[in-house]
Amino acid sequence: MKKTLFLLLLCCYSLQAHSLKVFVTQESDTFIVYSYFSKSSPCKGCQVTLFDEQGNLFDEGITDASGKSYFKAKKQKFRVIVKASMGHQGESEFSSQNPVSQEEGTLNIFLKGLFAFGVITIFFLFAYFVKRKRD
Amino acid sequence: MHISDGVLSSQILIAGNVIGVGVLLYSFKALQQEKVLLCAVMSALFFMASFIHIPIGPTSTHLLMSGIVGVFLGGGAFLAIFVGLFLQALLFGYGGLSVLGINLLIIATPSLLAYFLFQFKCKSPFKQAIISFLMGALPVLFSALLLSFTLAINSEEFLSVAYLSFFSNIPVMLIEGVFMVFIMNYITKVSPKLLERR
Repeated sequence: MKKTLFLLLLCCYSLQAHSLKVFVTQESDTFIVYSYFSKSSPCKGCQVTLFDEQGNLFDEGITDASGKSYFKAKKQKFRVIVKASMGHQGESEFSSQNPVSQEEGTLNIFLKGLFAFGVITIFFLFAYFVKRKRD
Repeated sequence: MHISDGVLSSQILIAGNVIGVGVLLYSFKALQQEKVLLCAVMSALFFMASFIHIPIGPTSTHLLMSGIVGVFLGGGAFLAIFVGLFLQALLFGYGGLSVLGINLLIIATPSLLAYFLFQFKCKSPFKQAIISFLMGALPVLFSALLLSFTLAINSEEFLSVAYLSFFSNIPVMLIEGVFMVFIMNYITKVSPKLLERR
């Protein structure tokens, strides 16, 4: 009985070693999907698909030799499914904390930039008068 | 170079924000009245630099200009960079509001290197160019190291992302080093008073 239980646990552990882990990070306006079986075994050439909250496919790609694939940030929240050979599959959900704009117009960026310069001006004018008052 | 919201653990966030507030208060207190305008200009420069993207393979990175901010402001760089980071997070989603403290420490702390290097004056133009290059490149290098270290201590799973973050900033390091050589050369000719050592 103990032998059977031990063998069962061993099987479960080795199954876990073959599970596909999927990991998503965001760097500026790029999502990085990283998948691996173990640290020394990245999921190379695996199919990566991204689904929005409604379940619609909006992007897909293939992982590179290091198990990574890169996507331009298009959606705030999405689900990623990575499919490897022999039926291995892993998935993860990701929610970006940063606002993901679909396509920001040049005018919009320009206005935001002007606003930012305005804020910088006002802030340092305030700092100037505070320093002047102290002196 | 910016870490986004939701990546770091709460312990690192809290520690980073507490230290960040401390250095900010010190930076504001130490800022002299005659330096406020320069601080505003440097803050605007830092803000604009993030829009200059450098494509690197599948991803991209951006200029920092923390070296030049450090040269002109010294400890005041923390205030200038903080304002830039805050506006970037608020308006364009670069980085995040909860990670402001960490991002500030990652980017602004190495800028002090540029300030210390600036104190060395060489008569040889070649040696001066080398120092100028290091003033631009080393802050980026150490920011990349700090970024990688922060990601690595956050979680083991971030190790590969940490390596990627480090190596993707090497071109930025080289570009900023070259920029700094030209900038310092130009300012020496046009307005040498700005480069008076203090």
